[in-house]
Amino acid sequence: MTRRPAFWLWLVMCLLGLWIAVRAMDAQIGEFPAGAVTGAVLLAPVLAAGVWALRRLHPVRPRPLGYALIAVAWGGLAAFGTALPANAAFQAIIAKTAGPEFNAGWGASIAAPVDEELLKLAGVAVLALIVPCAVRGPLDGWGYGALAGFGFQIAENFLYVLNMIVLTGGTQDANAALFTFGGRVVGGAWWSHWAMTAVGGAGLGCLLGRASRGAAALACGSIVLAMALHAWWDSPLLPGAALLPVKGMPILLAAVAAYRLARRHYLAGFRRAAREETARGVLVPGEDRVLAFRKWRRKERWDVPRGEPRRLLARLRTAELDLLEDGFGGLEPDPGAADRLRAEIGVVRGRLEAARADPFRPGAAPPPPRPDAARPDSA
Amino acid sequence: MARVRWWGTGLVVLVLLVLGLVLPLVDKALGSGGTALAAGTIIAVGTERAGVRPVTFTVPAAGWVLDEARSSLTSNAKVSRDEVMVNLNVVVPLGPLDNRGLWDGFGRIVAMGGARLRGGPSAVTTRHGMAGLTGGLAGNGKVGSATVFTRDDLGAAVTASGPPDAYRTLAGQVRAMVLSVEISP
Repeated sequence: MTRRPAFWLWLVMCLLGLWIAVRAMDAQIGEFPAGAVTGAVLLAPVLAAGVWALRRLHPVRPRPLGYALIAVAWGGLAAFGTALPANAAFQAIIAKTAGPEFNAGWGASIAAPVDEELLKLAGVAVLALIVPCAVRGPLDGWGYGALAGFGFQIAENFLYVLNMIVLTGGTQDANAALFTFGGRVVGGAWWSHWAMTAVGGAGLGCLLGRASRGAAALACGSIVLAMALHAWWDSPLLPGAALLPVKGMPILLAAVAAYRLARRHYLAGFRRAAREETARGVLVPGEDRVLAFRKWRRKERWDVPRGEPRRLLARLRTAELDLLEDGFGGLEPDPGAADRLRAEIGVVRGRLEAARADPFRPGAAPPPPRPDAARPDSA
Repeated sequence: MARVRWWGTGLVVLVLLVLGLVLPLVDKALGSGGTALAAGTIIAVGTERAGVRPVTFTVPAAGWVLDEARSSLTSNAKVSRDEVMVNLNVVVPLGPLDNRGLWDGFGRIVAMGGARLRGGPSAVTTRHGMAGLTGGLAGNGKVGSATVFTRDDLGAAVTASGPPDAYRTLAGQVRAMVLSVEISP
């Protein structure tokens, strides 16, 4: 990972973004520590819960924590820090060319979508360049786009806590934090940055998974759609807190629709790969359905003795899932990976059967799974 | 395979450079972006209510310039002349607010920029009869004044500062500008 230039770009940009953000906010934090601490305390569990939920929003297996944190850190540090001067400059350009009155009404809805969506989506591209197998299609792009957007959202919410303190004339500290939390998290988190960037990320994931003209067109279309949704949210249309759900609902619906499409695309590829590997004899008939269910994979572990057999079973399932996802694409496909994984599956399966057959080990071999009980996509 | 590592990373760097560096350079190249204001120009600030921005002030004489880049108009307006800068910020309180409470809170905001409010505030009344508090301001080699007004669910905080000589020259116009502040009910 550290041999890739994108890793160093990620690291440098995260540090640079942190530095810019700290410089922008340190005076406010120093003068209003109660509000800043209240804001941080309120937002920290939201960050943890959001990362947990978005990691698990996958039909087969949760996204690796390390990759998720790369995306979140990019959004919250690199993209957020870079967006501060970029937005200020863009809005200043609009004010100078179109006038301050126009800028007051429409400046944010022109500058922020362009700056922020591109910066957040760069996080998906950077992750794909650091770990090519992390982004293999629209579902990965959706997930890591959502995570990058969520990191950005949390950082921006903290900035809004500080801005709200200033807007109240410095008369409110903790109340400003609570008010911002209520408005931007409880009331507004459902259709915020995570949703917009998830939509753009799904299209970008298509392109990063398999480059083609169609994928490029889809990526461009989804990025433009993400920007349009962002512009809609920032626009002065439908003003007033009462109308915010009406304004936010199209963004949430677009994110849900993008997820459903990406999930369907993923599961179709997953099932196709599973059928092929079953026909090839790499997977045991019915095993594909166990693989598709987190719950079944967890349950079958209970029937395997602790220690080596359980470790071997986990390794077997990981190798099988890696094999099924190998054909999905990615920035740097490894033509030899499938054969290596098939060989590994064979070896691990043999060792697992031997471990299960060992009479000195406690426990018995698990019964074969009952694959007919449900559909794989209901996991 | 190895090539995408480099050109892909290069593409991301290019996007970052355009947004993080080129935009600020274009902004700088466009200059200060000031709009010259005629005497008697009324500047309205704050989120529109029925199509009208609720806080206004009047430019007392020609020569003042509206800083377009640093005036959002939804929350503030900044005008300047000969290094003297007048900045009006709209205050949206979350609860009941009086001039004394806003003066104390505003002192903390002023401190964020490295300046300090000097001494206790004195009462001031605008031409429209609105009462406020005003006092001296100093810091970063500049002198000036700070004034706060509150009315119902809105407030306004005005700072004016500049190099001592320039500020003394324009102090009368600054005071006229401050006394022209009006908050619509």
